[in-house]
Amino acid sequence: MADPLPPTSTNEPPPDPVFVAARREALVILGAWATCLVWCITTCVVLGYGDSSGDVTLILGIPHWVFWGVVVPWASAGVFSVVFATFFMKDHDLGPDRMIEDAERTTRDNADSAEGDDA
Amino acid sequence: MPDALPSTTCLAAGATAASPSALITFAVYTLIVLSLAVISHRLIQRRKAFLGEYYLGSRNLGPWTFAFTFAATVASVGSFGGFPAKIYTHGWILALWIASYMVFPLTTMGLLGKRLNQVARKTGAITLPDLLRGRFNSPLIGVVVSALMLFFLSSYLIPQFKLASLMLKALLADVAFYQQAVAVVGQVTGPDSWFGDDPGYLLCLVVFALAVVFYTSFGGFRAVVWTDVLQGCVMLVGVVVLLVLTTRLAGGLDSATKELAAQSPPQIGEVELEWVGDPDEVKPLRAGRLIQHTTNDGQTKRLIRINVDAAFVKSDGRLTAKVKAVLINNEAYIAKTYPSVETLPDVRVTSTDFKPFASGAGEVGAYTSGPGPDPRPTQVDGFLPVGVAVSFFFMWAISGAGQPGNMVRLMAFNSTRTLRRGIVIVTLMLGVIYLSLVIIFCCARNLIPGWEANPDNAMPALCVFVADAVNQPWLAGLLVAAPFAAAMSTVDSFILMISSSVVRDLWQRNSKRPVSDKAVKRASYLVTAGIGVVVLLVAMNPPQFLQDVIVYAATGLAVCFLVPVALALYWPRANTFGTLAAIAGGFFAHLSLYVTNWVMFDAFSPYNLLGVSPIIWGLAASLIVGIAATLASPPPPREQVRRFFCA
Repeated sequence: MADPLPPTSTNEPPPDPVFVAARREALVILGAWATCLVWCITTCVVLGYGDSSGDVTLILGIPHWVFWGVVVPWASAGVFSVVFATFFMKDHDLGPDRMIEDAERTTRDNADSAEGDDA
Repeated sequence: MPDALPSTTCLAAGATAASPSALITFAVYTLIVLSLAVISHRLIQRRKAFLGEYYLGSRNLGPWTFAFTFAATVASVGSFGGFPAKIYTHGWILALWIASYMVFPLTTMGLLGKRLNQVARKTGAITLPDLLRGRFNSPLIGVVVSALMLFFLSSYLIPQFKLASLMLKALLADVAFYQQAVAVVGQVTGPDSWFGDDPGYLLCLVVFALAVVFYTSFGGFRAVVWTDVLQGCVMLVGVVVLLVLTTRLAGGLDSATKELAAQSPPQIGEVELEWVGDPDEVKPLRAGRLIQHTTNDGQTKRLIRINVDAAFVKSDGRLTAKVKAVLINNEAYIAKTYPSVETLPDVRVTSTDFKPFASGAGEVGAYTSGPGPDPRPTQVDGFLPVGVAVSFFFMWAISGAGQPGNMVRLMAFNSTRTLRRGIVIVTLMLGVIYLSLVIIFCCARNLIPGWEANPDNAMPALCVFVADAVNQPWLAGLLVAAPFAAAMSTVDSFILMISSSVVRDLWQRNSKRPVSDKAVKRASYLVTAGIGVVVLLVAMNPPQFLQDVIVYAATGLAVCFLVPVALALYWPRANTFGTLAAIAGGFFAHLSLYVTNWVMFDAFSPYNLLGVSPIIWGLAASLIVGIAATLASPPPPREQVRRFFCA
């Protein structure tokens, strides 16, 4: 069965750079998501589950397991997101928009048919 | 078991009186929204590509409009109704429940955004069905995706209409002009009519629906985006103001959390009231009223809050009302409030029936530790066991990427620079909104306890309480406008998506003869308005299980569309058969777990197989079936692969 992956032969066009960059960025994002999942669940379960004695340690008025398990990773994820979007993600030309081209063609066709009707 | 109360029990006002300022604030907000629609309508008339402008704003969104419309669509009415209600009921554990929102902007915008926009440009797509149809050159995919979107989005809209109307009703309840209007509506519709038995709800529903239908159908996508920007600002300002005032009124976050840590969950149940005054002067009691309650030995003073309006009806020669209520056990609040509770000599409590929480009952510290208390009999393991906590990381951050409402916005930005800036702005916005809401409603447990039997009212009740406490009645209008704005911004984009599915994907794309611009315009306006009117009519008598319908529809959209779209964008081997199989795999796996629960427990709610949410099973099924079906079928044409994957 032929594999339709983008060709690597010199006669074939190279892979679309937007596709390549977007795929790389998507993998980094999935890694960030998985890191946050492990951090939050592990910290909250270890520090915050099962102790309902009411004797909770507070940091800035927040239960310590919420502070270390949610607030700190949230702040870290925020910083990562800003750095990632600002410096890691690449800008690309996304190409011509067929929607606009189709609309212009329709407008031209309508104008032509109107002229034909007038004639 | 009901416990008899001493006849000396008396009632007191727990709600505060609103002023016309709330109505004026709200009216000004609505007028601004409608004005934006008129301006947008004028812009549409000047554009060449009507459909592209009407349904996608000519793919020309800049960073701020893109970020605000994305954030406003994400922050649906659930964020300001259901989420605060959950924080109020379960406490600090909601911080973990919502934690995956820390990467939400990255996953929902960054995973698919760049490629989605590029493929939409290559195919000229303005809708999701349009995009998949163009990607695989398959009309069948377009029709299947359109049909599924119609099914899920319509199901989702009805509860949103209802919740928004209830919020408006809560805001205006004490405004004299509103009460007169409700009386007129009640006389016109009469009792037991097809329009339902609550003229206040009906009036608010019609006002909400007319406003949304007008600005959405008249102004199209651009009006929706502009109003989203306004609504995003209202939400952000509303939450920040509420955060500052609530923490101050609660004596600071440190003090509020310590007080919360000392609490155990209250008891929830029903209370029966009897009108003992002049029968000709009988009047209903508003939800939120506090009742002084002294135990039979006369030693313990307790407070009961009724959670719904109590309308007295004649039964066995007596005027009685049986309503949901909560037996408040917050000692600090009782000590502070009990003496100032206003009595009502015309009403007495005849009996009460309260039950403890299924988990966390009697446990001090339940609200400041995991897995959190839960009143539901099925949740004896607590609100958020570890398996469910993991599921919610998929539920929000991953399933959010599969929501068509988000995908449409990803097709509408004008450049990758806008996408990058949008991620930064949305990251900051959602962080502020959701972390603030957790703090606000943990404090609210101390300020307005006793709403656990009807926690959806916690948000409007807190807004009215805060506005009254700082003696600024207009603030209630602004604060309640925040959740109302969230409802509007979700409803408008969903109406537009349904309309685009009908006009573009089911009609124009499948028409055998060319469809004129004029016909497309007329159909777009009529279908958009028509959908709004149909949903309005259904919402007058909404079906049961509203909250479950919302969850089913939202997760159903994700399991049907996330994997097929991701494969279409990132896997050159993806083909028509595999895409249809992935859609079917997700749809049926997800549906089967709801049907299983229906058969086993006679309830339309998710069945968590092995403790895992149906959305994860649905996504897994969609991925496995999609890949297997793709590999088992012929590869796509070489030309198609070159078009979408080669430079």
